[in-house]
Amino acid sequence: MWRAWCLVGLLPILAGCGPEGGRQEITVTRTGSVDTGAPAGSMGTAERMGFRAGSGMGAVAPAGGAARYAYEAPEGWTEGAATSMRQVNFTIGDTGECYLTVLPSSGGGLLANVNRWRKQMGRDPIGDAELAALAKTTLLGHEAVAIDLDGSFSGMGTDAKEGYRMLGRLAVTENSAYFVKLTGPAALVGEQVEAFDRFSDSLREDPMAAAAAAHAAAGLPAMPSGMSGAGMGGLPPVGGFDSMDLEWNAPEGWVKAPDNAMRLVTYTVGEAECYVAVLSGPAGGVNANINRWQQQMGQPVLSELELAALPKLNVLGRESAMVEIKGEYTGMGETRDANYGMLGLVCPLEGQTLFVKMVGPAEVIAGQTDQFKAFCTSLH
Amino acid sequence: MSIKNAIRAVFLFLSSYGVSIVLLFLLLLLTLFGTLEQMHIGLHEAQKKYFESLFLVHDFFGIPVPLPGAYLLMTLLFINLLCGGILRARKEWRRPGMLIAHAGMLFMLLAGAVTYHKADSGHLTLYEGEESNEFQSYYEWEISIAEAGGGAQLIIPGDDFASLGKGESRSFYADGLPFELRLSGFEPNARPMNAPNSPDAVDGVVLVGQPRDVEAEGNVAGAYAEVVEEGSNTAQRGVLWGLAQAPWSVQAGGSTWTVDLRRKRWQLPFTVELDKFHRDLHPGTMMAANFSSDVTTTEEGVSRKVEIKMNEPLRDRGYTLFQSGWGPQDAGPNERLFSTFSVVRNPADQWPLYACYIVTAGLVMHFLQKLIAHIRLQNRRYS
Repeated sequence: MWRAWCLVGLLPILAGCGPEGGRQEITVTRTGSVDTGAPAGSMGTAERMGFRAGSGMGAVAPAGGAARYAYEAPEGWTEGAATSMRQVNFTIGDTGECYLTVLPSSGGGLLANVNRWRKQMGRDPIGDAELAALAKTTLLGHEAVAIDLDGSFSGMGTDAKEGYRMLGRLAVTENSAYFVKLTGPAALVGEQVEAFDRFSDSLREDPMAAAAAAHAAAGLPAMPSGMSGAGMGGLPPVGGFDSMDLEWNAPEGWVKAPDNAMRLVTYTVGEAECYVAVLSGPAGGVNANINRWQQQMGQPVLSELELAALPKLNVLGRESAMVEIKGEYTGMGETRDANYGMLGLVCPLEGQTLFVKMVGPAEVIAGQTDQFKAFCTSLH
Repeated sequence: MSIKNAIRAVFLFLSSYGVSIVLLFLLLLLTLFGTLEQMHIGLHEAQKKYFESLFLVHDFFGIPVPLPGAYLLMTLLFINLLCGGILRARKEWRRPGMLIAHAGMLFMLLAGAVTYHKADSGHLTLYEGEESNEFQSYYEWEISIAEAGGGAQLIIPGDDFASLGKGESRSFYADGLPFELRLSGFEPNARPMNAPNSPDAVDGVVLVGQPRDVEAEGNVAGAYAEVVEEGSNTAQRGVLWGLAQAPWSVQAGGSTWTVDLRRKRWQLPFTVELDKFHRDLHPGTMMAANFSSDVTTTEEGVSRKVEIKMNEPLRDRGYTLFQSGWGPQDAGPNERLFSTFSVVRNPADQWPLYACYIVTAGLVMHFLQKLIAHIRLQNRRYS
């Protein structure tokens, strides 16, 4: 038996030895399709990599990578590779950094994230009252809070750095969280305040970059530059809130609430609220939205089979999945309401997605299920 | 010891049960370790490390443990089975079953070796109305060099440059090529970055190595390239990246040449055009129940219509095209769809199936012989 062990232990130097350094002759030839790309000399290295010159203010994000946002990069900021947590990533000098993070959920809520950043700067947490008093601004079209903190900065896994300053904007919605943050030595950050504001104001979703990223993720050849995802017909553009000419029959007892720019209509029923919203494009897809609602209600995500088994309502001629969820509802500003219920419906249309969502105390929601269904099916 | 005795000793050793047990035990270990490691490094990397290697080092709770790879073990197992199960075994007409079963196992191992060395697999993705005669790899890369407007391409296989890390370079040349291409700094997963002050920057762009994606298809390779024209001391520098929007164009020898880092491609002996993609959804859902593609294959001017659907691939000229995917997954009604075919060319495609038939036949034969012998013995005892 020991000889057997020796046999396998005597590993011959059979491990593949590739060609050593130096020179090597190319021996493989092939005829067939050749991607000649752009005419010679018409594309520089940066352009080939997908970087596009901004309006004299630096390069815009690479379309071939994971970025899906457009912005005006301030002079002197060096763009870095996007990561899973930093959709846009810059360094400023040797010690400063600024990045955008977008999360597909509320990310724990606004207050929790503000306090997380405060903790990073060695500051004490704040409460709801202080949160409400923070300066308001916008980020990617959403209402945001602005922060400006001095202190000792402890980033992820790093030792505390004294004399640092942090500028940031935070926006949290029902379905997403958006953060842009600049940190560095106080003197450096002080010189970048205006640049940070211009950069943050210029951030916007870029359907072309989003389509290119999705295209690349699907393993398809890179999209020709200049073509829109919608124009190719294969990748609908990532969209924002849309409008739609609709009518409906409001159930008895539903009170119409003031108009909201992001909703077609809002109704209140006691402490519950029901609204209709339309987003352009697939808006992430039916399943992703339903599972986002699951998480919002503190419930586990549904499997493919469970999603397929959800009841369907015929809304606007489409079979639309409807979900009823009970749990702890996490709303804006990290408000948490126990014993809440949610009725939700996602209707995929051509080039748009319609959402109907009702949230409120569980006992109210339980008594409004039939009314919710009737409301949804009355949409025309 | 005479040579004859030495050969006999080696033969007895290689055909021994001890070797079989050791080899099977080590294969079991590799299966366990490879399966666990796959969660961290992905299926493709785990397969390469544990099951396609001669030798590997496994991290056992921080302790590096050298182990033989499955390729080496199965080679030795083949020898062991051949020597012990066939050559050394008693050959009696009364016992053909075990010989047949062992032959089946040898055939199975041979099928694996042929698949490893000779099979090509990748994907072909087409939008409706598009056609192509190439399929590309999910994982492997190659560099093509072609004269703009010319037909033939020079191909540098990925194995020839994938080992060139930071600071390492290799020059490639060919007859008729008016320059040498020097490659360096290969990264299996890279992203370009604007860094005009970096000494490595080419036109202000550097490649930043990224951790390998667990899903190996998501890795995008990159490398630096230099073109040195014959008789010139100056070099044109460029960056090659797998998702670049266009190949790198250089001027040399009075012509324009393109250098392209891309997924490895293979040519099909026929052209495939996607005429129409069909998708049936589960009622009331957006989940596909089944999907199929109507394609037209054209070979030497002769076209034929074929339907490729789940579990019913197209087999032609040694290539098998499976319907494996489609998209965009969130496409709305009337949107143009693409269909993805997994393409496999494997001379040993059906050999594992045949090997199973052979092993089954051998075992059934052996079992029946044993059963009949047992019944006869029982009858003699009680008669």
